[in-house]
Amino acid sequence: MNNNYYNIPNDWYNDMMNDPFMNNFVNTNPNYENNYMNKNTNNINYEEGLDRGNLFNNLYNEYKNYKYRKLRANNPKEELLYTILKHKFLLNDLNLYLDIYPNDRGYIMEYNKYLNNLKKAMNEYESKYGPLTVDSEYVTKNNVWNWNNNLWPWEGIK
Amino acid sequence: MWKYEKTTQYPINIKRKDLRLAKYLVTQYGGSNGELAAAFRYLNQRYTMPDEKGRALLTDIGTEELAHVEMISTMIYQLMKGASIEELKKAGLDAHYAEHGYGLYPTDANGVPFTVAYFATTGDFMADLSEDMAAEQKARAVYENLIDLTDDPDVIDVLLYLRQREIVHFTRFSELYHEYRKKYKIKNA
Repeated sequence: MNNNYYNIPNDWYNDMMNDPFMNNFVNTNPNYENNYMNKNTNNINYEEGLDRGNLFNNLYNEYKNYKYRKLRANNPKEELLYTILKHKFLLNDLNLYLDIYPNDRGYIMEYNKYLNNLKKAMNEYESKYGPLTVDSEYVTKNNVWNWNNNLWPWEGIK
Repeated sequence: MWKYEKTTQYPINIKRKDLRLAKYLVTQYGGSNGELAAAFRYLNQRYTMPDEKGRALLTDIGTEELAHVEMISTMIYQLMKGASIEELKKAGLDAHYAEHGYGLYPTDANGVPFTVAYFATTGDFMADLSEDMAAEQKARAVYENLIDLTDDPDVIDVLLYLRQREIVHFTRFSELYHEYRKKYKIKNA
């Protein structure tokens, strides 16, 4: 099941959701009392949340007639980086929402799903292009100090 | 504890040098409604929030504002990159060059240096949250002014993005404010 070098589970989210014990646990655990399923998860713009800077359709508000631009990657590295940024963004906006509404199970499940996607994308990016954090598995890959082997963000994306 | 991630929150690739814009944009770095003031206002106020929700929200929004400080700094750096002394003089950045060379320095658009007075903390959580809501609205308004002052799509995209973040943050502060009003039976706010 774990087919990558550093043994990072590839799809813990789906494994968890398909596990009958886990499903039963979520439905019967007393900690989940008074919780509710948000029926309104279609209020989320998964695809373009990052592009427009706002995950929630009901909060999005246009300035004059300015339209946000859809991010377009110029190469595979950039594409993978944008996938990472997209999921980090979704997680951050859900994080702020869940700070205020911590019992919203619908959005907690969305959060888990995006986190799973992020971990997969991070693993792929860092193994190919170098570490994004200094405690990444890939920072000393091949006994080389890889932390300063790629551009700093203010130097632009190549 | 904070952990650095080697990406900006939203990609920034400004190709056109624009010193005049850099001169205005710096206010979102070191001005009273800028990102630096926002980050430390929330991170400084969080200690006296009355419950876990408040402590979490101010920590998390404060942290995101730190990422916005990096975005604004990146924009200023890219807008000024490769400028000649003549160009700096023409744009009125000769005073900046005298003090800081090509380095970044947090001031408002009039050159007034950043001050911790912008942190605006009273220790009264309702007063502080009102301040935070107002701060997000003021930052949104400044982003709109800045969008009006440029026609570079590489810059406008980022400003539109940051403007949306102010709207989301305002909403979350406002939700917390109204929850506290009920929870703590506040009559004076």
